[in-house]
Amino acid sequence: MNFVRLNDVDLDLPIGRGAFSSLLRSGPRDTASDRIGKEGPGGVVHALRNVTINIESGDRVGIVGLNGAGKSTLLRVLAGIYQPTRGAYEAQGRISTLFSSTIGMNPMASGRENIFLSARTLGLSRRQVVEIEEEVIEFADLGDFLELPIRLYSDGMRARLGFAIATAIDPEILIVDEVFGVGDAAFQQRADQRIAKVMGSAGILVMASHSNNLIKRFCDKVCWVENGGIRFFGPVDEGIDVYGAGSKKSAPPKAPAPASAPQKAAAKTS
Amino acid sequence: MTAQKTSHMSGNLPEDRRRLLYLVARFRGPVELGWYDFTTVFRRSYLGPIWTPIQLAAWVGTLVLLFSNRLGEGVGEYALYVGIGMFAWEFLSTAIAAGPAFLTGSAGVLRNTPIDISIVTVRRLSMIASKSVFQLPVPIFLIVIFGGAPTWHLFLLAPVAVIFLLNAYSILTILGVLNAFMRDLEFLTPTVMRFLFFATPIFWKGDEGFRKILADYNPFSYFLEIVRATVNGEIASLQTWVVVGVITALCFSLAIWLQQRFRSAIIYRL
Repeated sequence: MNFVRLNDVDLDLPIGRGAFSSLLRSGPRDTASDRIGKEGPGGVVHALRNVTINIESGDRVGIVGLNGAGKSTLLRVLAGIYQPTRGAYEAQGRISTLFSSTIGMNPMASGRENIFLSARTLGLSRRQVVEIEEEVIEFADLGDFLELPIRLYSDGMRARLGFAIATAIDPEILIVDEVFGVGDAAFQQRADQRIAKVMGSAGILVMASHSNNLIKRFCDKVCWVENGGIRFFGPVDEGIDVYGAGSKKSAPPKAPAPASAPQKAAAKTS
Repeated sequence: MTAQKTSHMSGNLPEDRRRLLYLVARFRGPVELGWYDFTTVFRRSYLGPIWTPIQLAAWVGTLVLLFSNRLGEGVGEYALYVGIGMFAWEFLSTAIAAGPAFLTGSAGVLRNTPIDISIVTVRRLSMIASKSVFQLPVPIFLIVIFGGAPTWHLFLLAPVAVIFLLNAYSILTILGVLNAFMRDLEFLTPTVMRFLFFATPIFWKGDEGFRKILADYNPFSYFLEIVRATVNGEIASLQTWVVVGVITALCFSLAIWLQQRFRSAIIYRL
C-alpha cells in the first residue's frame, strides 16, 4: 500500500545571501512581507504553510495554482527532496520524479550512453538499464541521432529522450512537473499514451500543470495551491471549477491560506 | 520523517553481510558514473585521459629539473621523492579543489531526484580516484626505474589507499556542506591551495630549520610521508601513523555528522 502524507507542513526556504550583500543592495529585511520572513542570516521565503495532504494508492492528483504559488516546492516535498521545516512527511513506495528531462545527462555523451547515465543516476541497476534500453530507444525515436552526442540535439529531442527514460522506470509513485509541453504533436500524443500506461502500473500520480485539459485527462483529484497553502483538495471537476472561478479573482500572492483550509481539505481526502 | 521503501536485499544472509552487500550495490552506480564523468571530460581531445599522466609527468619533470641540486648522482632518488609526493598531493588537492563547488554543481540532480548526498559524493570521489588511476603509470615508472627491490611493505599501500579515499570523502563532504552555507569557500580554497602547495614538502625536504617546523605542523606532510615510506620499503614512524589516523577519524566523523545534520538544509541552499 503506497502513500504520501504531509501533516501540517511548513517549509521555509532560506534566501542565503552572504553577509556582504547587504552592503551592496537591499536585503529581505527591507522587503519583508507575509511570504518573505526575516528569520536567519539572510531571511527566508515562507514557501509552504500549514499543508496537510493525504495521497493514497490509486490517487491521481493534479496540482494547480498561479506561478509562485508553491506548486513545484510542494512537489519536491512530496518527493522527499525538501524536508519540511515543521510538520511531518511520510511516504511509502518507490518514488520517481519527472521534474527535468535531462537529469544526469552528459552533453558530451551520445543518446545511447545517456540512457545509461541518466538511468544509473536515477538509481537503476545495470540489469535494469539493459531491460529498459530498447524500450527507451523505441519510444524516444531519435533515429540515427541516437549515436550522436546530445549536445547536438534540439531541446525537443533531449526532452523526448529524458521523458522516455523517466517513464520507463515503472514507478510506484510518479511525481511530474510541467513536462508535457515538449516535443512535437505526434510525440505529445505518444507521451499521453505512455503516461496513461505508466499510470496503469504506478500506484500514485501527482502532476503539476497549468493545463486544465491535462489535469482532467490524467487526474481524479485536484489540489489548488495558493500563496503556499492549500486552497482546495477534492474531486477533479469541482476542483477545476473552483480554481477557475477563484484564480480570476486572485490577486498576486499576499498571505498563506488560512489554517482551516488544509484541515478541511484533509478531511475531504479521508 | 522520510519512510521511503528501500528494501533491495532479502534472504537469510547475516545482517552485517546483508548491510555490506546493500552498501556495495548502492554505491556501485555512482562509482561507475564517476569513472564515466572523468573519461568524458576528454571526449573531444585526441589523447583523451592520457593527458592526465602527461600533465603529472610534466610537473614532476619540471620540479626535478628546477630543484634537483645534485644532477647526476641522487637525481633518481629526488625524482622518486617528488613523483610520489606529487601523486599523493594531486589526489588530496583535487578533492580540496572540487570540494566547495561539487554539491552546488550537482544541484540539478539533488533538487530533482530524491537521492542522497552521499551518492553524489561517492560519484565525485570516484571521478577523482579515476584521475589517480590514470596517473599511476608515473609513480610506477619512477618506482621501477629508481626504487629498490619490491618488499612486502607494498601491501601496506592498500590500507594507505583506503585512508586517502576516506579523507577525500571527508574533504568533499565538509567543504561541500560548508560551502552551501558560505559560498566564500569557493574563492578561499584556491587561494589557500596555492600557499599549501609550497608549504607542503612535495619538492623540498623538511629536515631542518624553518622547513622542519613548516613540515611538522602541516598535516599534509604526514599523508605524503606514509606513502613515501611504504614505497621505499619502510614503515612510517608511529607519530606519522597516529597523526594520519587521528585526522582521518576526526574528519570522517565530522563529515558523517555534517551529512546527517544538514542533509535537508543543504538541498534548498544549493
